[in-house]
Amino acid sequence: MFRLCLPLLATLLAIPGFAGHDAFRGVESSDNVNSRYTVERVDLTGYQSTSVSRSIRQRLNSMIGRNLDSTALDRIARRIQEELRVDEVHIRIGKGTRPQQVAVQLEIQHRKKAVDFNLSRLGYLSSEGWTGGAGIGVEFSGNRATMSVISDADTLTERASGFQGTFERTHLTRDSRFGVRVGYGALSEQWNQESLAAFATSSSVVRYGFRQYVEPEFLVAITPELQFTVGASLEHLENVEAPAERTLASNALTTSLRYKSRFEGTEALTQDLDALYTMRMATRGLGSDFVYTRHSATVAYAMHHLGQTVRLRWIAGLVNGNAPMYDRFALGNSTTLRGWNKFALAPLGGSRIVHGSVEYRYRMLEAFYDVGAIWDRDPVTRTVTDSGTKHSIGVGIRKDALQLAVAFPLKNGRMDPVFLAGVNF
Amino acid sequence: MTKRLVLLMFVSFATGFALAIWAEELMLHRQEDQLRFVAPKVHFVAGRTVDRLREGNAVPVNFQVTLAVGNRQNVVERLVESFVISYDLWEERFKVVRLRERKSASNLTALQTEAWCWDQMGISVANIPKNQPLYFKLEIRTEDSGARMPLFGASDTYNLTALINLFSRPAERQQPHWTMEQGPFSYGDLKQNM
Repeated sequence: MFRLCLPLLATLLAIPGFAGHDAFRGVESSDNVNSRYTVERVDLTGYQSTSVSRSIRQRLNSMIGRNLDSTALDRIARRIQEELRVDEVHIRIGKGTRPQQVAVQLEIQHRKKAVDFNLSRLGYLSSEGWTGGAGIGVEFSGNRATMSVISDADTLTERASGFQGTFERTHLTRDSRFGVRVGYGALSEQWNQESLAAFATSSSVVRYGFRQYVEPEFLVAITPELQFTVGASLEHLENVEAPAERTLASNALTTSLRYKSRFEGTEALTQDLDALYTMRMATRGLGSDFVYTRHSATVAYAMHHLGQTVRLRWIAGLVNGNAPMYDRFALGNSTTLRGWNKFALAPLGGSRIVHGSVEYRYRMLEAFYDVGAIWDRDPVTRTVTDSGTKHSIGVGIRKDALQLAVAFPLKNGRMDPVFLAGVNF
Repeated sequence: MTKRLVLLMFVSFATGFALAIWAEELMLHRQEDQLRFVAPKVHFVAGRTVDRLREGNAVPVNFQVTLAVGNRQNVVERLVESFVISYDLWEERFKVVRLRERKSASNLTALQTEAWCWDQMGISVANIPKNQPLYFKLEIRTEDSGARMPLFGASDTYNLTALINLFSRPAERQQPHWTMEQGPFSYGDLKQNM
């Protein structure tokens, strides 16, 4: 009980003024004795210094001729770190050429890794088994190429195993607003017994054994926070149900709009907002055997305060027409309706989805509540299959990318715990 | 017999020598109801910290002092203090600000800056039991530029809880930090300065 009260106590103590006479001000610019000197010039040097956005440059230039503001310099250095994703921005202040003046230098430091190996995902969910992915990345001249091996039983209602690769030039700033990304994948599919049984009774969903895709995409940064993409998804599927038609094509135009921003109210309180809308449209005109439109929207909000984090996530999706399995929605995995078995809810996925999630984290501890519904409207028979609204709760520990949790689906009077363990899961 | 005598003398000498060194690491004395402390061998205005100061940056230095009674875990008094040190590029002297009261001193050398900080701190011994063993612990950490702790990045309010949280995390590998402990000792062992 005492441990449970600790976060609340810490929150109360953290409220300015609550801690009584022990509350005191943070570092102010005037604490630096050099704040009485005038800034003569500001230089930006080092790794990718020319890529720093115009707004940051303007803020730096506006410091010239004014008294040194070291806290503002710290904030700008942090913004550069986030914008360029670099290791450090080193601030050096030296004597100016005239008395009572100082020269400021911000040196961007980055230990460039030409090649990196990563474990993109590794996890176990007792209802679906193992999921894993590992890859290699290469950076050259502002481009990045990756190649990874995956076996993913978590994201969709299929286990997709094989290779995925990307080439991208997506480091967008205010001065460099355009990017490009090309993805390629060759995946072999395995199906759960419940899904196989459902295929036998479905008139509209096609089972495939192997698929490969190419997905070229152009990116435009309308603002540093708002990004628009347009591209195509060209997929070839091995038709295992009708061997006469050896392959099926699923070609779609893709577009997305993403708003991602961090709001820093105070240094102890930060908020993140990430909103994404995607649309895929496949038509006969693109040579596609599948004709459908898929919309999905995700909004994620997080508030961080002194070791505590509250996360809210909302997902909605809609598919009109006859979409291939990989573009149908799934609920009941490591991120949605945790604790529920996705094959029990909708063994072939669904064409409609609504999901909400609330998480509270205090340092390593986390607790979550998920609610969601998935249903399907058969495009041929027009019948609706609805699993109803489901709820689940869970607790666990999370340290950086490592997670260990137990989730409980809230069923009528029953508690069947499901265990989750993994890295980036 | 002679060998044992030599061994005994050696052990006595080594113990005395170690105690003498240990005693110099951390000096405690009582001033009325305050326990004052100095670690004369610890120079937190030196090395990397001075390098950053000479580059015109303000460097926060944080202290946490705890006094435990009976055993090391039974902490009865805790003090957390934060000082911001900077180096005047033209005058080539140091300035230090104690954040709790916004008290400051300037035109100092590095040693004078450290002495000023020690002089500002004291932990109350008014209410501690006088007949039980005492344990004293001092932790010092300076802020590292690479870490850019959000706590100290801007002119926002922070408080006791935030500082305690700071010391509850392990220090960064390259962050200058010191930890010193003394005890058990009795209340009567503390020299009193009037």
